[in-house]
Amino acid sequence: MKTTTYECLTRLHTRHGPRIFGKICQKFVALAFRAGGSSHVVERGVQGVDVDAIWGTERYALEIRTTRTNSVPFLSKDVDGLASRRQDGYRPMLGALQLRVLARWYFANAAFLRPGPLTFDAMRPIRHRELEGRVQPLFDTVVERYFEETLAGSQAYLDHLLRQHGVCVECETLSSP
Amino acid sequence: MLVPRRLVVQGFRGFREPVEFHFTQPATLLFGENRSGKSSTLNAIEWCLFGDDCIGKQTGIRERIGWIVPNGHMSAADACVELELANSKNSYVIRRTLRKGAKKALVGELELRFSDGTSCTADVAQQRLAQLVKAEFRDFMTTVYQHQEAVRAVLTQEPRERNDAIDRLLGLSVYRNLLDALAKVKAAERQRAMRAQFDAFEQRVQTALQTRQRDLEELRVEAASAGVPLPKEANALARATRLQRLLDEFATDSGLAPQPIALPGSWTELPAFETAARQAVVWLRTEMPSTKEQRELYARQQGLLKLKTDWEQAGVGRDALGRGTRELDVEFGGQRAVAAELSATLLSIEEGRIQLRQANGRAALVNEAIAYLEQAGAEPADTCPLCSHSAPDLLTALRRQWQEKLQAEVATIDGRIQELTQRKKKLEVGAQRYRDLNEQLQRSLQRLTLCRKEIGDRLGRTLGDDDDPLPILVAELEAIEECGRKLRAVVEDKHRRLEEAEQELRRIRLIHGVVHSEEKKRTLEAIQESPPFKALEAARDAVAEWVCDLEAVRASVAAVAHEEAGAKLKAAERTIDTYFRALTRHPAVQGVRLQLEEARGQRNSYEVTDQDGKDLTPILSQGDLNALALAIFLGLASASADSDLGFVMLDDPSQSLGSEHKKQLVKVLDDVAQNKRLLLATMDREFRTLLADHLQKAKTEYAFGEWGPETGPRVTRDNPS
Repeated sequence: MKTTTYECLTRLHTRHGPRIFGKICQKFVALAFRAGGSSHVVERGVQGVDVDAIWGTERYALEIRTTRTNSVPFLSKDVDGLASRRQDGYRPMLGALQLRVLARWYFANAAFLRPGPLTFDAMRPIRHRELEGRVQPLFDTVVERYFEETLAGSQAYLDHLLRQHGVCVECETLSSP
Repeated sequence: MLVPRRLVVQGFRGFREPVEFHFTQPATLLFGENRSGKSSTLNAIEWCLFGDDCIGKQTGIRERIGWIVPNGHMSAADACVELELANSKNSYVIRRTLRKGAKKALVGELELRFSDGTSCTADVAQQRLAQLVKAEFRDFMTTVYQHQEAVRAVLTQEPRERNDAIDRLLGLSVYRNLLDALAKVKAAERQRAMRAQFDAFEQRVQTALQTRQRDLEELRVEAASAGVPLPKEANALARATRLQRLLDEFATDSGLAPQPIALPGSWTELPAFETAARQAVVWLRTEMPSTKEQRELYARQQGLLKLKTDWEQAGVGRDALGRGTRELDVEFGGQRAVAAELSATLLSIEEGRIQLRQANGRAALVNEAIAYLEQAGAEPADTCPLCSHSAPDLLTALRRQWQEKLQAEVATIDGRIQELTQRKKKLEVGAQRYRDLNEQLQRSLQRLTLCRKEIGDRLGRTLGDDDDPLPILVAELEAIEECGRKLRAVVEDKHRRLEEAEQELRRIRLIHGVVHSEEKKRTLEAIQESPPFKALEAARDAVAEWVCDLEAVRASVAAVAHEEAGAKLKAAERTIDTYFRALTRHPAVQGVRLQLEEARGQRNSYEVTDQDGKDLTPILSQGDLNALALAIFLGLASASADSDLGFVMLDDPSQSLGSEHKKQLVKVLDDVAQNKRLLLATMDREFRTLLADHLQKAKTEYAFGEWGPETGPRVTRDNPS
């Protein structure tokens, strides 16, 4: 990701804490898909797969994870949730982002994943590089554009923004600590 | 089924000359002490069938690592083993040779002869042999040839080593070796090390980013305080254009030719512009006419001030000299008076000296007279020699009188001369002082004259003796001061304009600093897009895939090893149980099962349990474990009753067995011999006797005598049955 994106995300992480930061990134991803021309995007702050996106002829169901470490948790309920979306014709994906200066989004084919802690190295062989290449610059742009307001307003602002952009939002907004 | 019929061993291991064995009976016993050649005989069969496959680490047998086939005690011997196998229809002679070729290289040869008289060699022979035997070396080890080492390893208490041994008994060494090799690659560790290095690199980038961000923020604050709230490249370029115009206008206003300064096309050209503009400002400051004028005025002022000082100092000097002269006049009455008095004094001194000389002359005369009188001592001393009158003590009186008068006179003259001399000295000093003062006064007057001329020259006019230079100078200096005041105001105004230009230059420099810092930050960002970084990412991907592939291979190998072990154990399960119970007759063991633990993607792990699944290991003795190893081997051998190889080779099977165990082993072997020919090697006399007495099949015995390097094994044939 761009260094400016990294700096913005670092400030958001510091301001809101890891849990809400994860939710914010999830909403940024939804906005990035929408900005990239996804015809239908669902962002869930509640139970279920985090983001659904239809992009061209492809349908993606994404579990989103953010971390400062080398691995992310991938739970049985995530497997179940993605399997359910798979039955509806969605490609199950795990979107993971390390909050590090030289990191970028990993979109891994979740059909190959088993529950447990998942290192970024383990995700490498099953990355969807083409999707990563499309989403990362959009994500950078979204973060740069909405950073200041997000820093001040957090999720409520982003939910409003998502709705404005035609994203279906199923939310249970968490409050900042 | 193929059974061995004849074996000829020559130059193999401890063998020298050809030794021939015949396996015509269902059982053949090789009996002899340790190192007598029994195991080498069995090894010869193995090598003849499998060649290099039975040598090396992959066999899972430690002694086979670095195993030497040709007899090491013979200088130029070839190893040659000939084995005749036969089934109900045909016989086959397999001849394997290892010749010493050029440069001590060993050349292997294989020949296969058929009962119809035909034969084949090399690859064809190898291919035909494989078709004939229909077993790989690992199968041979599992079902035909029971190695001592494989049995010994089962006896270990270390679970991992026992699992290894059982794997070997089951012919799974190749899988275990593969798993060992995969583990030695340490792929995950290498990947972790690679990640650690990358993390360290990333940490350095992060630190650099933080440093640059801090620098950038400081520069932005400085720029804002200098009146540049938005330090952008375009802003700097616009400021540069304005500054250039400002400097041009200034030059024109000052009557100077504008300095050519190249305008920057981008932020990278700002430093060059700044340098050129700064030089232009310095030049303008130096070269603008008002500055020059001010400088000249200042120089003139300084020159006149110096002349004024010189004039004043010369005047002061002259006055001091006048005062000195007047003081001398008071003291001496004037220079002429000093000269006159000095002349008079000199004359008086001369007169005094004459008087003194005269007095001295008289004194000399009188002295001579007195001396004469004293020399004429014949005369009475109290008579005057001139008038002959009585003059008592005349000489004494004369001398005293003379001395008194003379001394008084000389003293007076001396005193006067002294006074005059002192006065003379004082007058001489006075005269000298007059001369000095006169000289100084002359010089002072010359200096004044010179100074006056210089002042006149500087002011551009002639100063006569009537003119007082001082007021003229003061008036001129006042005029210069006034002019300087006016000029200073003009120069200060111009300097203000140039200072503004310099302020603008500082702002441009600050903007450049900000833009440059931003650019440096962008270079960090560009790392991700750089070819080396992309190559590194690709390499990390490749490593990740490699690790993933290795893991898949490892899991597959483990799964196959597990599956094959399960199948073999299942096939031989009942026989193993039967043989084990028959061998041990353990009162606490009603049944034995060799349980293969559930596959967990790792190496095979076995558990010896009773019929209820209870772990038996803690209650099994070394003999029991040996019996277990034999039961496994013999069970697998019997389970492969439909194999093409119809014989079993056991090397020292009675090791660690007690008498009862041995007795039971003979019974088990009797059972095995129903389907297989037995080749047994032992050093155990008790076991030999038991075999002779209780093995119901006909048997041949080869006795192995003492082995010697020069003789090889001493083998004799006996037929106990």
